[in-house]
Amino acid sequence: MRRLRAILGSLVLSCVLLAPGTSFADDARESTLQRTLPNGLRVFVRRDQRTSLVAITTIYQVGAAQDPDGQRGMAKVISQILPRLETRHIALQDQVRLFQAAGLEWWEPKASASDERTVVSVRVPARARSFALWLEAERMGFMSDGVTGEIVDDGEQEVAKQEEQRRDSAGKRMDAALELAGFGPTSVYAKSLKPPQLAAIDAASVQQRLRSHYTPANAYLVVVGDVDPEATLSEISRYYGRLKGTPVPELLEPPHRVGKEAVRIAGPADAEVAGLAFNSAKFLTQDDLTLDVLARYLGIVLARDLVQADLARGIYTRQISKRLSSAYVLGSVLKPGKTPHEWRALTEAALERVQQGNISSADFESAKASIIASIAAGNDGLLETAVYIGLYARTVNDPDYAPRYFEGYRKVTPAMLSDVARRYLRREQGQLIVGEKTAVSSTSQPDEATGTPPKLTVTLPSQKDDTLWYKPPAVPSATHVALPSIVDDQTSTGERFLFTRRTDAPLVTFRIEVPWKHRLPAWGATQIIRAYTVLPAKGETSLDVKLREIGATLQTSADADSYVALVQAVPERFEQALLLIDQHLRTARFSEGRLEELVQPFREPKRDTIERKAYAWENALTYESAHRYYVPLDANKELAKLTAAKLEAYFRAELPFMRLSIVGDLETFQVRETLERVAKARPRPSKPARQDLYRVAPRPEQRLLLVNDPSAQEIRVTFAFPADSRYGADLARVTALTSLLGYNTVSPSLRSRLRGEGITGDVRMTWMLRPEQNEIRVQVTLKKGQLEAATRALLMHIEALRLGEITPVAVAQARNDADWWLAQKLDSTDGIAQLLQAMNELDATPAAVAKTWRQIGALDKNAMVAAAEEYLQPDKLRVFAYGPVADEAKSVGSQLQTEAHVTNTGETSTP
Amino acid sequence: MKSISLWLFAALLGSGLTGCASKPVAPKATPAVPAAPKESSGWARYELPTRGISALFPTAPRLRKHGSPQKDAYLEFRQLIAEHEGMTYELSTIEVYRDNKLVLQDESALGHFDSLFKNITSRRALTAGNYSGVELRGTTKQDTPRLVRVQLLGNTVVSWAVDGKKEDFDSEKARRFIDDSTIELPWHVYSAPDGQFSISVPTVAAELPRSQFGWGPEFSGGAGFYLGGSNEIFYAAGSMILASDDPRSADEVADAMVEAMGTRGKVLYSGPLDYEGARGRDVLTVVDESYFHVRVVVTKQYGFLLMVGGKDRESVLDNAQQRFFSSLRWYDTAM
Repeated sequence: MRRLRAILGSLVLSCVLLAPGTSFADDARESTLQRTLPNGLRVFVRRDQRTSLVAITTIYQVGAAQDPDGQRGMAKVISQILPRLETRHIALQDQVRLFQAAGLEWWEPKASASDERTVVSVRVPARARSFALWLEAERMGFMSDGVTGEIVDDGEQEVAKQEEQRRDSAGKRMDAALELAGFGPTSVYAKSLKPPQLAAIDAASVQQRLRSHYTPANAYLVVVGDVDPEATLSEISRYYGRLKGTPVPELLEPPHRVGKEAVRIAGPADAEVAGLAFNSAKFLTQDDLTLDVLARYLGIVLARDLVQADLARGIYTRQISKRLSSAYVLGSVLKPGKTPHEWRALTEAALERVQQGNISSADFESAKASIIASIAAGNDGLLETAVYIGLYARTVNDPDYAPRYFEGYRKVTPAMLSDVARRYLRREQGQLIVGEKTAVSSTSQPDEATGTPPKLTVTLPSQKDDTLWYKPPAVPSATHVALPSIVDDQTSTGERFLFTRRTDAPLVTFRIEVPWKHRLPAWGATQIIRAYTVLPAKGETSLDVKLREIGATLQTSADADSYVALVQAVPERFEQALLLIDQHLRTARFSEGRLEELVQPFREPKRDTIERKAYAWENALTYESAHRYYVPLDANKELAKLTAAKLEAYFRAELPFMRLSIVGDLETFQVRETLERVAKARPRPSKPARQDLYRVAPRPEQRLLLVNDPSAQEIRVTFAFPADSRYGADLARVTALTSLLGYNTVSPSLRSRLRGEGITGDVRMTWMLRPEQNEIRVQVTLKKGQLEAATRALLMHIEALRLGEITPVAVAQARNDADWWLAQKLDSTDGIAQLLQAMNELDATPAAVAKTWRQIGALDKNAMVAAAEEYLQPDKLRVFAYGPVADEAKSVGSQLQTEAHVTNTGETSTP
Repeated sequence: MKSISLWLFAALLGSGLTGCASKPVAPKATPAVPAAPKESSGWARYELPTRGISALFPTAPRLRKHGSPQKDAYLEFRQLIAEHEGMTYELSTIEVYRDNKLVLQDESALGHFDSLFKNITSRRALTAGNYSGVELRGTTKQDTPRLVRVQLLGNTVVSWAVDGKKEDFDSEKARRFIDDSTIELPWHVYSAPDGQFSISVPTVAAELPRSQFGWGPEFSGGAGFYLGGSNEIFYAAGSMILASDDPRSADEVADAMVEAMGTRGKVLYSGPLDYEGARGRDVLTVVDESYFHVRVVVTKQYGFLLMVGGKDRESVLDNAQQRFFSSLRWYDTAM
């Protein structure tokens, strides 16, 4: 699937190559248009054309802190059930059909409840904006229609499960105790830290709550994306304007009260935990931001001190910010034999140093970079942006506060750190929480709710004038996503890099890809190499920790195609992060001592499912042993010959093929100069590439390849048609044709045809894009004796497609798949970086990708029929099946007019 | 474009569908009897969510909803139920689904309510808004008095029932509950994915299985809905894909569709129509003493055919039916 995603990623990229440094994202964002409707709904609309999507977020200013007395958990139960509530005009099953009719993928809103709010969000194609607003207004107006006892029970079970997890986890118990201490026992935020009272919540009370609190008068509606703000406001006014509701009283926070100096709770079974909690500054004040930096700073400094003193394994520090009050907490799991008082003494000593201005500037800068990176990552997508607009508007009455928010972090100085530490984290203000070593797994408090639950009160008013809802808004045809410009260049050392500038991205995201160009030394070698590069040898600091200390994050992965490291850092730390990882990869030592441990998982390859067995056999029979996709049937032979030195040499030989994909707010010349400096700083020149690159052709193909395993319970069959799916060639039609196989056409869908033959197993359509294997593939899981029927159903289906039995809606859906996928990718810096990496991985030029992209935009029914005639030819169909297939070899061969090549699993070593 | 077949009338009239609700019932509504009791504290109107059916209850009712799988169908019950001063008040709906479609009830469904009684002392046939119903009074197997009103609405059987012990049964309150009931037919959005359109129809109208409705093969999507009542109202909407190389104008296509209707019945009226930028025709036809108000809309890709049928001209031309015609939305998402 990774391969499939990679293909899709690069499939849809443009090569509108502009001059280096030209930005596609300039002016992508505008200021927010805001209005309050007569019914009290606060509306915020911002045009943001980073991608052709729109985020619609409804923020009800009601959360767990306002739960009714005796009904703690109400907000959480509501957030669980809210997306599934049907309304009087559109039942859920009707929704799905409506989406299909409109040529849209069905979307389900996401809902969550925190202490202060309940957020309901959808992210939709820009063309579906009116449609989505209409649906969301219907939800706001009529969601109480769908409340039933069964749905409420489901929601309560989910909340009860979460509570159980919290109760049974020592870490979560500690968190709750620290927060309770920080906010204080009388705080409005203390409510959600106590167990829910689900017995008192029923359908009637949920309906009442929805009607009284989840109304326009108590909500913010935020729309962000590729929209015309004025037109959007007008639509919002039309759809939401006639809904009614009354505002609910504002939350009030009583004066903070400090609890007992020390609280003891049930900790984990094997260690003591200790924590300190302080009441601190409100959300979005400068003190709040400074305390965030301080939390990161103490996270770095105290972790070091505690480990050096052998007191604890690390430290957890956090400023938990809320609108009316905040909590600043620190906590550690203690080493055996260490006491909470020792921990407190060391922690307070560190705090005292900060209070006295004794602050390490390197650690301070890392802390700042780290918090900015973390906040920026949380603000990256449209949905996140929409939520933050609502938060800013609610807290500081300025929906466009984001730049000042980030500026607030940037202007923090060491002196400010000392100042907030002196004011908020004084010794006498702190409360010590001790999690005692205990085997007790529950500290739940008795439920305060008693008595009979209130009876249902149904007071739905009759909706006399609801003609608005009879007719959904139009959904225009898809228009192609606006694409970023891509710089395709290479450094003086020959490393290819693809770069897209995104001026609104607070982080630079880069992916380092090392493709496997040579024959792999063994099955599993890719993962073993990855482990060597990430896990430190004894006495070394791991790569992700090194990066974290400069405010950067790291994720690595490896598969049969390449090794990938994904890094995100603030722009000013880009070079440092790149240098760090580049040097690390080039100097990592692969010690022989660790080899056995790393090899072990590959000695017993997972071949426990029919899919894995079929995959292994198909690759083993299709490729030669020197090929990278070859899967050995006996992995141990290769692994026995493997040495760490061999792996290290192999990886070093691959490093010259390293390629980079970079997205962020940088000038092209900055990127180039940074890459040149990093290349010069390398410890020694890379060895020249070896010459034994893959030049192995797959074995001659047999059209009907069967592996007979009489003991298997199922058959896994792959139907494959060769297809020219290279960039710049015919990839557009091939991908759309593959998608089309999965949709309803005028004739029954393939799944329906298979069901008609009694085949109800899993069906998947994919296409392969490998130099050695360009194919449209349909994979089906069958029962014994169904291979012939499945082959017949497939042949009938492709005949229907070749005859043009394709509805316009099926063509549109197939074409829209690529649009939707790309639009989502362009919503985040990491998504764009993934697209660039896919291009790197497939050696695709921007020009070839752009050509494919244009072809996707031009797809219509005629093109699809022509593609079906060209590629779905019965005499080119290749069939591979694994399972109890011997009995059907002859009949299927006769269907395909070819001879079956049968391999019995007993004749060779079993995978 | 393929010429339109006789799908329209063959399917609807030939299937005998319109006859299935034509068993004799009392032709006129029987006036509701005693006046509602004086307003007393606690009485308030409650509605069954999403169904537009409500009643006055003396106290807040509980909401129940559950499904009951049968051998070849699925019954869905919704109920508001309240107990007050020894009496039980129930407002219930029963819907029947077969093969995921609402299926048509016939008036024999009304007869099932006899089994709720040991003795029936009074039976009155009722009609409300042209829909058949019955009111039953008597005693239950437990010898307690019971008053029940049953109404048949499209696919839905609606009942209001009151019972209680003899000493507790207050006839005045029971009548108030029964007589102050209201029905405001809600409409909901129906969509045809294959036809790429949506339309609104009354929620209680029974969606007919495609096989029963009998759309011709030229139709890529569509459905029929039977609402019933003494006028035997039904709704139908379908779409056919137009060939991209069809040389005819939209008006010519619309005329061809109207002409096809004329081969089976008599076209009483046909006038041109502009609907959201598309051309079409508004047509009134009569076939075998049934009237059909038909709207044809021709877009670049599709020909849509909407229809309200019934036993008399007034009911199919009623302004209320405009809600159906004006709710058509098509989605030209493909080229």
